[in-house]
Amino acid sequence: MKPRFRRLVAIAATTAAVVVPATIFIRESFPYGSKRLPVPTVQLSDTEIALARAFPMFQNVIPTINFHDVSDGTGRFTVTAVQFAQYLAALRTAGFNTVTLAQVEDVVAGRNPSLPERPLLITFDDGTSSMYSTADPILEAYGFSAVGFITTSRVAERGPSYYLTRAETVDLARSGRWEFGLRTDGDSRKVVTGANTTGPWLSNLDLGPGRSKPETLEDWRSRVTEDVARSQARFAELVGHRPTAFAYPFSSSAVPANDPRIPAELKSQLLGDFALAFSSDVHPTRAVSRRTPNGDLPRLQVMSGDSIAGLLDGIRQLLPAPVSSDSSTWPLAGATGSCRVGQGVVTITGSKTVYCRRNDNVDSWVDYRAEVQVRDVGPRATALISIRDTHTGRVEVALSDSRVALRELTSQTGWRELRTYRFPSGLISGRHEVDFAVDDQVLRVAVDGQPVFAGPIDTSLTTGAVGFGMATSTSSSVQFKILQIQDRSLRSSGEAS
Amino acid sequence: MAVDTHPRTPKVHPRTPKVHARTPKAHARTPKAHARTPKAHARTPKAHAVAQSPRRDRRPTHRMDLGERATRRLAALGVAFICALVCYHVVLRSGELGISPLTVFYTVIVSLYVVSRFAFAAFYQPPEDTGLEPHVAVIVPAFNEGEAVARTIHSVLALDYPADKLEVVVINDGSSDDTWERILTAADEHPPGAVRCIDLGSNQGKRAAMATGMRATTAEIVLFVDSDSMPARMGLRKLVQGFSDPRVGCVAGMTHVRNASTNTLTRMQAARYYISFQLLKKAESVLGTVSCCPGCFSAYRREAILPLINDWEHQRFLGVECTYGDDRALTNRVLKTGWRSLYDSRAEAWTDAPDDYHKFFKQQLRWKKSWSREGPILLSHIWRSHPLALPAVLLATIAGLLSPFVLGWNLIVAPLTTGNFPIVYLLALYLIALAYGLLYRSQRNDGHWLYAIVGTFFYILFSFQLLWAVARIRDGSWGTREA
Repeated sequence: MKPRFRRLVAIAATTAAVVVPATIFIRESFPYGSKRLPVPTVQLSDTEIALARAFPMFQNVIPTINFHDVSDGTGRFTVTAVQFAQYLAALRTAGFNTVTLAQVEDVVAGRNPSLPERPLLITFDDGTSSMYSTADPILEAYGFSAVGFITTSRVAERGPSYYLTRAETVDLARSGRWEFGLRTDGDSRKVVTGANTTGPWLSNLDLGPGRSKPETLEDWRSRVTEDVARSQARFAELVGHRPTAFAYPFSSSAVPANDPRIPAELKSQLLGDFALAFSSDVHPTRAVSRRTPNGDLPRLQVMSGDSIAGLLDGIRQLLPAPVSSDSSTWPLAGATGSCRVGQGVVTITGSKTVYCRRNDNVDSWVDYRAEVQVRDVGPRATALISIRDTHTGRVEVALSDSRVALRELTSQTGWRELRTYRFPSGLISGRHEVDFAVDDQVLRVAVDGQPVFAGPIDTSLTTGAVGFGMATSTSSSVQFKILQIQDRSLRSSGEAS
Repeated sequence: MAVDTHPRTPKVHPRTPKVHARTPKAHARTPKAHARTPKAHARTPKAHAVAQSPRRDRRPTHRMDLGERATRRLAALGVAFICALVCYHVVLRSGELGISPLTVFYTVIVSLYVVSRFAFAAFYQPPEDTGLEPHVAVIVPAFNEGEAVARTIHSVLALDYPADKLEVVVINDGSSDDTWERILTAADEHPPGAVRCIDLGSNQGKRAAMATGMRATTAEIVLFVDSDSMPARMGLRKLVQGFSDPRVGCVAGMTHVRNASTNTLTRMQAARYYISFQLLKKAESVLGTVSCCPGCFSAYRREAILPLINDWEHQRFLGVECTYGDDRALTNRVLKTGWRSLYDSRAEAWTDAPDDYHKFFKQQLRWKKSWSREGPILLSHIWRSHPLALPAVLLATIAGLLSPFVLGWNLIVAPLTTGNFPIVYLLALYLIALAYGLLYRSQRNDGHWLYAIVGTFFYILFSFQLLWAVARIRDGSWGTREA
């Protein structure tokens, strides 16, 4: 009896030594229901806390930041769990509050939703499973919500998978912390766009050698339409409703297309299908506001090397800069010459065309009046004053010693002459005063007291700041003295209240 | 018993001895030895020790009690369960191939290798017993072996095999101790001509000793027995059965560790030997491609090795004459020339394993060097032997070569860089070790099965040695054979 008992105990112990580790092994290595990783404990430094607490107050615009994978990977767009937790800790300290896609829609559509203080939209591209395993627990811990843009064909039926699984996606949607948008159905492959070039497949004709004949615009249209329709159907089946937001995969909106008709058509098609379309531009210029052109909603890409100070500063630069004549605060940048700013005078020197432009958010620059005195204009140097300068186009006054030209540049139509005015002979001088007023419809310009232009400008140029430039072919210099720049919207709203 | 029907008689025509060859007349035998009958010779006290070797674990199943039978069944079930788990894991992990190709690649390779060993071994059948009884020459190369060689000589002469079909050739490879005297003394205890003793005069290496032995005989089958090994009495009779298939060039016997009970190290080695033979060699034997018929107890067909001997004896690798890995090199060549190699689990022998870590380390280094040297050669021709042999060898080679790197990555680099405890990796190692332990337990009940588990981890740690072995592959020093 005794040895038999011992044998039974030994067998039981051995069975346990097989079954228990095997169970742990199965659970640890087979994430059917994916693992949720613990939230890393992070501590901000005193400097970082001070920086975050000093973040300026704002309310009516929505800075949007975008993440990709949150993991130990080494990609340029990959941040670690610890970094991600630090970012969120800083954003929480700075007093940000995340908003929903519906609120963004309202803002873009010009409706006035009630936004929280310091609204923020956090988005994720690619739809990796780290959204579930790593990012979501951290978002939950810091009380933020997020929007995930998913590539529908990549959603895995079961794990383990680099991309989200169906179950994970459904789980996230149910959590209330997540909304989803689309990033197309097919993956972000590139197509052959020319002899030696490739480009994003969404915004280019496929001229690839793999095809029997190069794609026509018609082929492209049906390819993109089919893909979007398929991904909408899959999305609806996955999440339970039709997608309302789209994000261009693979910087499709930023890279030039190999058919000039594509960008406009793509944008109009996407805006027909989606209420919101976000760009994946690496260098955005502004927060989402009612003035942001839909179809290209800018997002700040958070990169692997970004510090907390860098992220906060990046978000701050997305906020609209106030209309001001204080040129010393202007971040003017000239690409080919020098721009010196001091005591209300901007001095431009160089030997070719130089533009000194603001590189911050000029969405507040809508309705303003300015007076600028131009000095040192001569036969070899033409002074350029940008009346309305945005990153897509501008209206500018070009002053030479004999004439004034008023012209308009838009991405759709290119240059357009609005008015040319030749100075009366005998009045040729190197010094002129330019006085202009602009709001979202009408521009009025006077040179040396003479009205030169009064009329509408292109509808894409509803915001944009004053900027300066010089066109020359020899070594020259011109000066602009800013006599005044006045924000008329403040005045009128002040009068109204 | 078989031995009675084949009375041992002195050799009628002893072959022409070499310079130092010992003739029966040169040394007078003791009267006691004279008095012995051939049967008594076969039962010298020393030879008797063979019969006393641990055999209790080899009881046939029908004589086992119900509990033991059930235990073995359960252990086998455990092995099957772990194999199924590994397969399951591979299927799931392959879905991750796009994410971490290298890790998944290695997981798949190793898992397939391990599971394929169990799967192939399950189909193993020992060579059919046809009553074959060819002429056999037992070659015993000896170098500074002291008393072990006498024990070996006695056990070889105690083999259950007709004396007129058995030659024993002992070669002294220029031992610096009293090995030669001990050989002569041991030979004296047997009838004249039963043992032929050859002294090479100077240390010429194991290959030279083996080659000399081979050249000194015309027997159909050559059985190599290391000077520290002892065949079981029925060992040879079983071992030669494999040669009834005319395509078979060599047959490896099953070698147990004689000094298993000395210490933990020898117990772990004993378990490891058992696993290597009963799992790895069985699996290889199913394809007829046993890659190493070990020098301690393997038989070769003379016809198969005779054309290879010169080349093999003076094998050079990277400009250096090869010293270690004689057995693997010889089997490799036999396979290359189109012969099959088998493993016979019924033909047993006992050998001494290193009982201290220093000697063990040296031996492992030697084995890893010869594996590294012979592996590529084997890969270059194994596809001719069996359609499944190349994939099997390829799996083993890739898994073996990558193991030090994967081990270092998973147990050292990854935990240090990410701070994650490698729980999955360690559990996988544990489950594989457990499979080996349970396999052992499903066949033997000597309490050593736990050493198979511990030993697996121990041997896994030794895979780092492969890097050193590759780096020092040209260094031919033996470790135990410093002259």
